[in-house]
Amino acid sequence: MVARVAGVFDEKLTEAIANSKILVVGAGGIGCEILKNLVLTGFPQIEIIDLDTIDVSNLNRQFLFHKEHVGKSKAQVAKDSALSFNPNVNIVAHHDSVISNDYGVSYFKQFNIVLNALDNRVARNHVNRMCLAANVPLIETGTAGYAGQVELIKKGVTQCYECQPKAPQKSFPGCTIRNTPSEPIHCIVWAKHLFNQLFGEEDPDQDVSPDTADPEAAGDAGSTALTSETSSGNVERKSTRAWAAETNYDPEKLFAKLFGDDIRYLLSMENLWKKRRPPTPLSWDSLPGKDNIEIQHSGLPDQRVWSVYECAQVFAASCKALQTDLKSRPEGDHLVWDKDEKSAMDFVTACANIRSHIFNIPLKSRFEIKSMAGNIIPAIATANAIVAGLAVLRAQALLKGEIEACTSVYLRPKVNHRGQLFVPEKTLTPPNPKCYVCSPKPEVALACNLKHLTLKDLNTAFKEGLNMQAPDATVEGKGLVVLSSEPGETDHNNEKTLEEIGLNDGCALLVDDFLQNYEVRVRLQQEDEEKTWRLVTDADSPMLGPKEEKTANGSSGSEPKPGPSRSKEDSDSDMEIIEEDDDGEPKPKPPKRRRTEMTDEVVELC
Amino acid sequence: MVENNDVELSEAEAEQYDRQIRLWGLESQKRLRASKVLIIGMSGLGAEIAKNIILSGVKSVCLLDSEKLKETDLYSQFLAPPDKIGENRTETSLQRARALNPMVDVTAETKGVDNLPDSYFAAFDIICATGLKQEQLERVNNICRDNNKKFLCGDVWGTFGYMFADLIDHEYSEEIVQHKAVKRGPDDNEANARETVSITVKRRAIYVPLQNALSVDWTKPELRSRLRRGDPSYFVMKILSRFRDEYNRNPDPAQRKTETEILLRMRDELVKELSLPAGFIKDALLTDVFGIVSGAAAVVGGVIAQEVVKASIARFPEAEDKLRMEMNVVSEVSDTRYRLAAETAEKAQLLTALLPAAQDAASYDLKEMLQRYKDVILLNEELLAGCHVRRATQEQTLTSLKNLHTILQQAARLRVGKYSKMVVNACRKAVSDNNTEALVKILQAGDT
Ligand SMILES: [Zn+2]
Repeated sequence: MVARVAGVFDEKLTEAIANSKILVVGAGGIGCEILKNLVLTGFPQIEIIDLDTIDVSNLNRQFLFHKEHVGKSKAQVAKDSALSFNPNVNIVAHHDSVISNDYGVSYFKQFNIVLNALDNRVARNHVNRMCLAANVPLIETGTAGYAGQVELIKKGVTQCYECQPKAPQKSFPGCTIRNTPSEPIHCIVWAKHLFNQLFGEEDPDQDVSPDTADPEAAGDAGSTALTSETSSGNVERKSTRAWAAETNYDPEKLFAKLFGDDIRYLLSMENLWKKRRPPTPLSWDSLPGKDNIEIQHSGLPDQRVWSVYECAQVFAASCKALQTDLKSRPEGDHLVWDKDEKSAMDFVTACANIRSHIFNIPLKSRFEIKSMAGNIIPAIATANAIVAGLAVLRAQALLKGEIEACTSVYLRPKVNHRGQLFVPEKTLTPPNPKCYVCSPKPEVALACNLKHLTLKDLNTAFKEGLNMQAPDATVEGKGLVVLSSEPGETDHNNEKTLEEIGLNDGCALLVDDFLQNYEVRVRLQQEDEEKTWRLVTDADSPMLGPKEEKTANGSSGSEPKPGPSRSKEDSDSDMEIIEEDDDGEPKPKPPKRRRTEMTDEVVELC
Repeated sequence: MVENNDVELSEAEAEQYDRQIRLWGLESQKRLRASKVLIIGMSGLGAEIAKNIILSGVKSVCLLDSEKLKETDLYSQFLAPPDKIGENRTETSLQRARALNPMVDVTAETKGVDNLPDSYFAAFDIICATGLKQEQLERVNNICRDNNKKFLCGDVWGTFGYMFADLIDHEYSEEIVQHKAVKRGPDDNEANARETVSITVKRRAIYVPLQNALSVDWTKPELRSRLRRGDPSYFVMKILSRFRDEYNRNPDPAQRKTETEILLRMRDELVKELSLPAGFIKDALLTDVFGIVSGAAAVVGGVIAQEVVKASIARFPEAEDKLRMEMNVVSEVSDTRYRLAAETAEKAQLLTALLPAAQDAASYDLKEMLQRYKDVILLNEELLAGCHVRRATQEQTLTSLKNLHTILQQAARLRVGKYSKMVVNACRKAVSDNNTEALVKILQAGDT
């Protein structure tokens, strides 16, 4: 099947399209649009991968899906819908994660072009590496609200997706979350951690109880607290989950501990409150808003800020619902927080707001908390359609051999001072020679304390920091395997420190990911102060370390689910858009200054 | 468009529109739900516009077209099933269009534009016209003007496209992102981090009708100096419109070679007529203008639909607290000043306004493919507004008391508290002092 109507394109492009094979990764907002354009244009062989299923909130833009498709595979439904536009093309749909051994370098090699329509960085990094390894051009797309961008990635010609270190996700120190929250987001992060402590996968880094090791509180940590309250005193030595289970998740008891006892404990850490307004413990029987329960509210409950009393009711109800859910699962299983799961979202809204009230922080509506807790990036049909259109036009240019014309292009939220809505780069952006992914000899340093970091931690560093899926590591020059992705080969060393397995300062590891066909030289750098690990690139730009509280539940959330799209954060974007500076627009002045100017002018005029 | 703004969104609506409500807010979504849109022309571009607008959740969309589905349509028209060639384009599109969003009332009109009375068009809030001749476009535009309805039009030929909007006198709010230094809490190590804050400002734009934009006198010296740096897209659009007017159809892909020759001939005529520089409109620009390429339709259809959405939801949020309002209105005024100052400095702004992608394109050798997205001609409303203001000040002069009265009214309406008084007093004082220059400035900023 060739491009459908002879004469629309010149012969060269018609021919190139007829012989092309295209991979689309992601069947979300941009993916649906790309697929439509490809199919209509007559691209004869298309494969599409997405592990996600259809949600109601997709329907405002993912137009290949309708209400009756909710819950079904995005890739499959997208294929079926798109075939109705042009039954003569061949589409293969994969309801699957692109990060899988099934899609290795040889799989990628069969395509002329790969188009990325993803919503998360982990999968974008992975496809970036696969395309570099397979030497297939990749067209990377993203939108965030009204804005968007399209970028070509071609090995050795342009920069790759990982050439520039991405801004780390906003993070908060643990003690802010546990002891001294001052913004709604701190309480929301705490509430999500609490969810995991009680119902989800327990993570010691997500402790929600008062942090007695808070450097600010040094000296008086809890010295006077709770010595008389033995029941609560015991709690500190038990896991929150075990204690909650013992009380049968009794909402009033949970409430009394979390919002009463724990707060009193914090109050006893007096240093914390010398310059801060101290929190006020709550008790179940005298909650604000209890007297106003008769008021009739109009509008959507999600949009309204609930009273503390209402929050407590929602807390109780959601605790019960979540406990029932947990009990119905096999022993040892746990829940995974999901913003689209009603009880899970109710629980976080209620807990975050109750804690906010305690710390004199403004309360938020469920709608607002969902945005922050779920890291929702707004998405609209038009921006996705425009970006997908640009991406397919770029693909056509590539097929014609006009690679120089395929510069990055940004869709702006509004026209800039030059009247441009689309701002293209003037030339292709060359690769960063120090990129630890696409440079000929990738290299990076890992700063850590070799006396404390275990082999297991090292494995995590490679997975989280270097975005590898199954790392293998050997000592350079010696060929000694220190970390193997084969189960059982090096597991016995998991708990040993790097020093104990014979690695020392300055020694270099060759770390390899077979699937990604990617090898990087990692130099170990001893730093006594480093509590976990930190990557240092040659450009000396500090990179993201592992263990801080992160607001974006993205790749650092409790359960990273890499794949073309993730049900937990539904967006088509992981892009960094610089709104104001991308074209030398004059920076807006602060409003205050403007007011003065205005006044001046009026005076001048008269 | 205010009829049922007070009715709350249903749970189902809130759920389906969640991701866009998070962008433009609940009130905007309610306003969108009141908007009645007419889309003229069910080619691939019409289908793209229809898809985006129906998904957004307007009140109703009417698809108007008397033409039959052709094979070339299948290249980009995804609402009509491929086996319905020969049937009316809009009727065959109806079923899929409705399935996009059952909450929107979608209807079809199979009469042509020429067979419908003015009153028919006046019943809509916003009209998007595609595939029409210039004369028809101007008629619909003028009906819209007479009835204070918003008008947009656009077309795609091959990979080339344009868009035009006439929202008449348009007030809207806009979010501006500002960078601000912040002092974090004592817990935070980055003591003076910078963070972005967004504020909402109120803006006003005065649009010109299509016929003005199409009849710009390019022989004027200040515009000619612009041509050397300019983008030829505007003229490519003129050539393609003329082709349509003359042959009553678009260039035919099946006769690619011979029709390209016709287009090049028409190009030469236009160049002569407007005394454009030789080689300004390169041959390559007229070789990829056959059929409608899906990707280009998606881009232009996306831009037009986005303008429809913006026009539907535009209104200054009244619930803003007063302090914020003061600052913003003041900043709006100083913005207007800034724009006008820039304009005076460089008079030929108009061409850039018509051809936004111009300057970059001129700075390096224009590549055919780059053209594909840049050729979307966006008539920059705000700069055109500036042009209109300038004309007004030149032609009508500035002594009209009626005008001044309007300004005072607007000043009073837009500004609150002491700033309101300050501006009004400034105007009064300017009059009493017979300060001509001051009056010009106030007129420019306030009224046309
Ligand atoms: Zn790179």
